[in-house]
Amino acid sequence: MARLLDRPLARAAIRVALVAACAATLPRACAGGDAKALFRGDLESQTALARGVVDDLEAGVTTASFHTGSARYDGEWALGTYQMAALGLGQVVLAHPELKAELVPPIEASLERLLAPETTAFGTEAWHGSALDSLGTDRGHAYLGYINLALGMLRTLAPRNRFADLHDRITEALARRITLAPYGLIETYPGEAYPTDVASVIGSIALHDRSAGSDHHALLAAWSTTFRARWIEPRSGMLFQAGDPANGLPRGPARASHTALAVYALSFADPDLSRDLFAALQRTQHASFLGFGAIREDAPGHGGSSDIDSGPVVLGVGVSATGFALAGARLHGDPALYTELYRTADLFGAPRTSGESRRFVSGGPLGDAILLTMLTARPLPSPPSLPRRPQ
Amino acid sequence: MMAWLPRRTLIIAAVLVAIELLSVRILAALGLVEALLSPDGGRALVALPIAVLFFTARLLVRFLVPGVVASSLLLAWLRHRATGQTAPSSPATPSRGGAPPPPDPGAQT
Repeated sequence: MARLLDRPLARAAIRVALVAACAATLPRACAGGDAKALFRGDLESQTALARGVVDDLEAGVTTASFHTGSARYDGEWALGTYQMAALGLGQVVLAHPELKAELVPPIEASLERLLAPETTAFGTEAWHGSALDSLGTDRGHAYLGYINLALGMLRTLAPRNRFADLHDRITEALARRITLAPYGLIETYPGEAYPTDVASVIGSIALHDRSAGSDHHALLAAWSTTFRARWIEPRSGMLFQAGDPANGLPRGPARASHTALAVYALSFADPDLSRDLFAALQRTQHASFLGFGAIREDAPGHGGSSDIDSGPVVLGVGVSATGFALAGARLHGDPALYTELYRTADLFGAPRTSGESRRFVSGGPLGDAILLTMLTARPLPSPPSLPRRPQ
Repeated sequence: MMAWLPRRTLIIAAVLVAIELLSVRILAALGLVEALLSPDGGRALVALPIAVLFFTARLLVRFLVPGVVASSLLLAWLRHRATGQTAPSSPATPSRGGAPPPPDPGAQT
């Protein structure tokens, strides 16, 4: 044995073998600790994340909290923080109704911030008019879909809330705009239209149907057919990033970040379409290394670069796509992918528990809210038997 | 006692773990994302190197340190046993690593 240990090659072989064995087994075990509990929807795991988001909200998030270099993106990030917070907290309440009294007030506070003129100032500036003041017009304002999803979540939890009338009016405006769109796409900003934003519009209309008893079934079915034909790239099965609402042609590459977010939004409206998009992510975009999973940003044959939606793209893997895909994995029952993606979120997000809250150190308020929503995404319970209102 | 332990490796591993634990606390208090996005360049200048330090330490602690520590411990223990079996009566023989041999001859059997 002593002679063997005197040989540098033998010592090196032992070192390499042990380093490889440990690297292949220990990190995945350490980082995936919470994944099973979160996938199951355990009270303790979900509550800790929810309280982390509430802490973020109480600390205050405004457009001034972000400094992306673009007032529009700062506004989008603030809107995204409040929208995701409302949805995530709502999902936790749906899973654990005993938390309703604790978590509905921060949801309402998020909605107040979402609807504040300063939060949507980026859209007002782009359109030269406020989205809420122009509900009677047919101007796009597709980002209203995100706000409307949050309003729908509160309506699901509390059908008679102070935002109900506004929820009805926004839904009807969006439904009318979708009806008038020949290719199922409405503009987010003048001259800019994004299929993912419209997926959130559609999800929000469906959530209104569930929570308020309206009936847009025919509109949603027709839209799904158009959407599948126009805005999904046939080869990869993923969504085009942008499109031209006037001629129905794509304007950008097929990308995973947009697809993964649409998987979540469409789960409210068309679970089959949501499942098909998720299957495309599983089939063509999934990357894995030592048990850590990620989602490649660009569809095969498509090129792109990091942008405000994709987040950083490192070695072809997208940060946003990886985070958003957690929702699809939970919604469509893929615990293995959920665990892999969670390990990556854990490794780079660096979750830290403080008291009863759990926050992701490298996520910030937006990252915390997104991860709460994606990690707790769930099929909605069957809608209550409300009287159906005609479209 | 336990003189065969690879002390340098263990100390480096402990330092890396300490760096990870300490820097995550600092980043949590500082607010990493807020600091990096802050118009106050000073906060970003503080946060960025700590973030680099943190992620480097975190990756090393997760992927490299366990294997390095385990292999160092194993090699040191094997050497300790082999030395004990081949030279039980020569406690003054220096080991290859330069560390003194175990003082307790009874432990070498």
